This record gives sequence, C-alpha cells and structure tokens, in this order.
Amino acid sequence: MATRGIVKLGESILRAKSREVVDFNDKLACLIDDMFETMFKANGVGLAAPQVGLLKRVCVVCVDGVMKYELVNPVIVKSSGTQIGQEGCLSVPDRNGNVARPKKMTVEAQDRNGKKHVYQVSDFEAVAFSHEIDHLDGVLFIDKLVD
Amino acid sequence: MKKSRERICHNALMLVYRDGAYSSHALSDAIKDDREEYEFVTRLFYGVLERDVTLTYIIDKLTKKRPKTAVMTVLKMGVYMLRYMNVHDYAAVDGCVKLTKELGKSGVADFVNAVLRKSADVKLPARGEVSEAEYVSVNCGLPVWLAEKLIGQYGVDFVENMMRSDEFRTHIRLRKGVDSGKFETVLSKYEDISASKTKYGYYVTHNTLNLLQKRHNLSQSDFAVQSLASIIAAQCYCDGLDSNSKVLDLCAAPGGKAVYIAENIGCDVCACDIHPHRLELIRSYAKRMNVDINAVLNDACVERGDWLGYFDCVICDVPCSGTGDLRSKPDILLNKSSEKVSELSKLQSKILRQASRYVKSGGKLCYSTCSVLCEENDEVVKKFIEHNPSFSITDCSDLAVNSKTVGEAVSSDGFVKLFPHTHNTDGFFVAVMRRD
Repeated sequence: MATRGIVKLGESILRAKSREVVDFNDKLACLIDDMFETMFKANGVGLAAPQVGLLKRVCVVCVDGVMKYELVNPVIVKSSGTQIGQEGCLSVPDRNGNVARPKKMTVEAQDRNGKKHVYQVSDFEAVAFSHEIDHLDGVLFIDKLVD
Repeated sequence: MKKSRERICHNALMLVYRDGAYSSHALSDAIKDDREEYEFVTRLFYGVLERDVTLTYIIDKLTKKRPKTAVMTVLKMGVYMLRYMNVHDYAAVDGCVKLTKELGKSGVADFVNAVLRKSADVKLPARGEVSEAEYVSVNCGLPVWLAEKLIGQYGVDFVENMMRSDEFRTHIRLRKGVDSGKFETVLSKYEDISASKTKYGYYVTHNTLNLLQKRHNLSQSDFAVQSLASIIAAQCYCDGLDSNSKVLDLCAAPGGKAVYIAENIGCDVCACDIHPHRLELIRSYAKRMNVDINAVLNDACVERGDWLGYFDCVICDVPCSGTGDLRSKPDILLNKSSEKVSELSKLQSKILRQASRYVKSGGKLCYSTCSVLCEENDEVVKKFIEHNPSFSITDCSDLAVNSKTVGEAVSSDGFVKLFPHTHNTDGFFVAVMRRD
C-alpha cells in the first residue's frame, strides 16, 4: 500500500470521462487499496480514480470510518428526493459550496473481483456517492453550486 | 470528497472524550495533512475542552437525559460556536445538524436542532443564586470538586480572576551569549516588545514564534521556548550552585529546567525520568540546545544506593494535577478527581522522601509543581519537614535570584507561589529546603 498524489483543479484529467474497467487484476486491487489510504490520510470521505491521475471508473467512499465502499463501474439505477448541503473536494483546495444532491440512491457497482453489488444509500452517504460518481464523468461540485 | 471541518473537529474531540487521548495528539491525529481548516478546528477543539463544564451545564438544562458521547459532543460544539465564536447562528446550527446526519444519526437531527436553538435562552447562574462552588464551576469551567477546593484555599474572587486571565502567548528566553539588541530588532518587526519583555525573555504569539524560526537566521539554539514559571523555578534551583556542583533532577522530562541549569551554571546535571521515551525527549532537547546532560532511566520512588548523600542539589519537579496550567492543557481536568489528587499527593511525598536521601550534608533539596492546590504543595512540604528535622525551609526571598516577580511571589512561609492573574505566568509552586 502507498499513498498517491492527488490531482488538483486545473489538470485536464479531472475534466475527462473515465473508461470502464474490464480487467479485474492485482493492479486494480492495489489501486483500490492505495485510494483508501490516500483518502484517509487526506481527511476525505470519498475519492475517485481521476483524482489520483487514472481515467478508470473506480471510486471509494467511507463516510463513517467503518463501512468502506469500493465502487468499480458504478451506475446510479434509481434516485429520489433532493438535499442541499455543503461540500468540499480534495482536488479543489480552499473552496466549499452548497450542492443539491439526491436524498436516496440505488447504486449498482462491482467490487475488485468483478462481483456485482447493489447499494441503497441515503443522506450523507448518498451525497458522497453522487459526488464521487460525478468525478468519473469529469463533473466537479463547483459546476453544480446552488445559492 | 472532503470531510467537513465540523466533522474533523468532532473526530478530534471524540478521541479525547471517548478514548482518553491527550488533546495535542488527538488534534494532530484528526487534522492529518489537512492545513486548510486548521485554524477553525483548533479554536473550536480547545474551546470546547476549556468550556466543557459550562457547555455540559447548558445542555443538561435542555435535555431530560444526557445524550450519548457522540451526540453530546456535537451539542457541545454547537453551543460553543453559538456562544463564544464569531459564527452566524444559522450556520452554527446548520453545521451541527448536517454533522449529525453525516455521523449516520439522522434520527436525532431534529433533537440537535431544537437543543441548539433553545440554548441561547439558558442563562448561567449569577453569583448568589447558587452555591459559590457551583457558580465558580459553571462560570469558570471548573469541575465542582476543584472549584470547592480552590475556593476553600483562596476565596471566590481570587479563583474567578485566576480563571479569567487570558494569556495566549508563549514565553521565549534568549540563550546565553546571544546579542539581545540584534534579537530585539528582529522581534520588534512583529511585536510591541516593550509591552511583553520580561527579565528573562519575551512573550510572543505563536505566530511570531513560527516566523522567527522560519524566516530569520535564528536557529533553535539562539532562543528557547520556556514558560516564565519554569525559568523562575530553575532560577531558584540555581541559587548558590557553581560549576563544580552536582545536580540531580529526578522528574526531568522534557528537560527544560535541567538544560537551563546546565547552560547557566555549567555544572554536571543528571536528569532522570521513569519512561524511556520521555528520556529521549530530554536527550534530544539537550542536543538541540548544545548542552551536556546525563540522562538516566530511574524510578524516583526506588532507592539507588550509589546516589545516597552524593548531590549538592536535588530537584523534584513532581508529577501533579497540573491545575496551574489549565489554559494550555484544558483536557487535564477531564479525567481528574479529588481522589486522584490525593493519590498524587501520596506519590509526591514518596518522591520527596526518596529525593531527600540523595542530598549531601549542607546541600539543597528543591520541590516544585505546576499545581495551585495546597494539598500538593505546602502540605507535602510541611509534612516532610515534620518527619525530617534535618531539613529546614529556605525562605525564597533570601535567594540571590534578584527578580521582582520572585520577590512578590514569595509567600509568608517562604515558598514561591505564582498565579496566572497576578504574575502573568502559569500557576507554579517552588519550595527550597536545606540539609543541615
């Protein structure tokens, strides 16, 4: 395990669309472990692969410090309601802002072995999931600010 | 996605409240590499710890049953922001409600909201409305048992003034041989030094200290960060010693006073501590200050035959309740109780007894604490003198320390007693004894 550098706003990679993961190999497992370590060290609750410089549809989320989600090729299959809350991003230093996100979401994603899972998340977890999945399509929270 | 700053602060506070971590460790653990929110988190973190008793009082008034630690901590943070910080009310409440949800406790979000909105209506008890101990306890943020003890010793006004004095600055002293004029020119860029100069150095803000270390070619060995109380204590120890004296410091870590003596007197100093990792602190500090100190692992309560009657001066700066130093370490009260103080006072007596055996005939025995409780100070020393007639108390005003601060601080029985509000130092106690 190792920590990786976090790409900051201004790098074009943050704005590019990530590619689907097809090879479920050791490299992927290593990436996921590194991403968790990087995220915890930077006081994050979620991190997406483009933020460590890789255009892969991979992100990790851990909101409560216990439940660690690894999302490979995540897809939002259902979402409902809205909530507005303040967000910050490890790739956008010194900026916070209010963003509208779904209140509840159903997300389908694979784990490091390619096995499919369905996650039902709500409240702050839904915010974190939505924020990280946006990264995979080159979208940042600063694009979605509301007053 | 990033953790919110409230969340970072909550993590740090939970490390203290739930896991009993030291405040400084908990804070740096929680902040990690994140420097962005450093200022806000630090302020809120220390604020909540300092005002713990007051905040608990307010929350207890508004809740039937005290919530569990995690939610209680959210409420404390909220009430502190509302009462003592320059945060808009709606932002403080909103931040705490969001934090509650972030912690996966959406069920109590409305409860948090309601308690915080009502908290402004709670009035702290005025003097005369409740018992003196409760009044002081709630208004000054002291546990009731400590408030009672302190009032018993000093009276209400004295305690109130002591707790209200604010000094958020650090004392630095110049090392021997450093050109003070040159130093002052550098310092005057940042500080109004005339206002903060002491006989031994200067009070500076933490910010200035950082700048001094980074920007100017002043190395760490040009000046030392040492509280004024600690310097005054070391001055009392130094009195009457010369370069041939042999000094033993029994509870030396992190080594501030031992280094001061070695630097200013140039004698042999043997500095002991019971913990190996604390011994490393002494060694690295002495090395940084370029001073020779003999650091030895030793339990101050266990006799060492080869030291009996060997030293000209033995110092016991004993472990204590730290009640003189509440401003810089607000968490020390969380896990203390009246019984713990009694236990400490027994340990202190034991160390002092053992220390006395190492003093040679005609030598000095020094006892000091950073406590303001008689139980740990006067009583320990007086009990010792009673049982050991070969020792007598030296009146500290007779010492050749020649400092106004010390002169004013000497009590009628010859001890040095420093207080935050009268001497602008930490609370400190020094007693000097001599063996016949």
